Amino acid sequence: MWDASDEALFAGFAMGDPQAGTVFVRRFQARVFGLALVITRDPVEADEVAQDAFVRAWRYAASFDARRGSVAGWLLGITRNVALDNVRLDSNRKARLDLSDAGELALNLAIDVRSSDEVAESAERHDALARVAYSLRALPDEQREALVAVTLQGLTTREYAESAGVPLGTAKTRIRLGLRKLRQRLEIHAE
Amino acid sequence: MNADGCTWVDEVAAELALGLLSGAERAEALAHMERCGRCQDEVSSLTGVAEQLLLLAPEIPPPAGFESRVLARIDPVPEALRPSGSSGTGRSGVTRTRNGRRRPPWRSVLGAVAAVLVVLVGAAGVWVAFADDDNHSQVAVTVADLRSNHNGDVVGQATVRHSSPPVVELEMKEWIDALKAQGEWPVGDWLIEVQDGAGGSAHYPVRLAESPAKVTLVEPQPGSDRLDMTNLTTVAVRDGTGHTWCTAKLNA
Repeated sequence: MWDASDEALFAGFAMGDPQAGTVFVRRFQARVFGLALVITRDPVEADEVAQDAFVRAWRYAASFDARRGSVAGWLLGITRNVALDNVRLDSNRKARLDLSDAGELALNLAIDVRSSDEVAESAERHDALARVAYSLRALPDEQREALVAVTLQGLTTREYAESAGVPLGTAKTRIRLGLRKLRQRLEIHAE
Repeated sequence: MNADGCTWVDEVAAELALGLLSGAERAEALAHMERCGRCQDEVSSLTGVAEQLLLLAPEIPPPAGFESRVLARIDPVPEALRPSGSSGTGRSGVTRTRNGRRRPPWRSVLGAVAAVLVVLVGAAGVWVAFADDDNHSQVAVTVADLRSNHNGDVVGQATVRHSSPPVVELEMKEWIDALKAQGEWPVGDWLIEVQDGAGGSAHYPVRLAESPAKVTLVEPQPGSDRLDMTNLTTVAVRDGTGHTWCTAKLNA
């Protein structure tokens, strides 16, 4: 069971198999909580968000499509949406967000940890992470910063524009070009 | 498709994929995408990229007891598998129970037998599971949509337990009842036609009055081919005149 693929565990979790559920939650909880914490900046809220994300993943399991992407990406996408739903309702959000540190914290953490040879990851997972990290690194700085801000840090386009001190249109362009370029880089690395 | 709509969606596709659009813009983009496959594909592709980006989220262990709190909130029947007013769309590997709830197909198949672990969720409308059988040995189970040969609608489900011999179960009572109510269901003998990957086909009598209708693949009708039971590809339901009413592709 501990060696089961992400997809197999997820299928077991979705159908309410307690053993598969336990292993599935253990496998992903640090990533889900990590993302929730990065976006919410509040451990108590992050705990709730992470729980909600797992519950939502289980509830909408039928909508997962293995042909479109990985379980991890899908689950983290849900986590991000739940976290954003929470923080965008929070009027104190701006006070809590230190926009000046936007950009590098999560990225550095992620890239430094994940691309290290010492990380004992499964080869497949390590490859997937390394591919994303390298592809992201290859982007122009401002595009990378914009993408990290609106994904891993949960900023809106407008918040990113304000934090970066650029017009809204520029922020939109950075996001648009950045995501497309990232796709291109990922395709190159996948070959 | 409208070229202006495409140009605009193309501009906002990345923000849509990243969940950054406002409600009104999002609704407008989605409305366009309903009519435009190209924009739909583009946004879907970018959504996949956005999800990959999230793989870089830092790993931070949650507070103690997190796992138990999550598992305590999980009910055995996911809401997504409950009736939502529509049926047979998309990944339809679910069936309805008597009380109207939907449940994963392997549960209806296996009854009291415990499904251990689904190892593969395959292409649209086909699920493959491994389950403990009564003798506690592992048996693969394929569950596939039965689709009407008339219009392609999902009308029920075919389940194949790959035991020796294999067992086919058909759940299509609601469809049969609906056709009966319209006077379109012929009276007479029914058959299932089972095909294998080598093009062989065999016919077995089936009693559709039962639900699920269960057929153990022994004693085919005369004239049937000898099937490769390890590589069954389709199950079709035919009436006594040879007309095929619905078909399940086991390897769709």
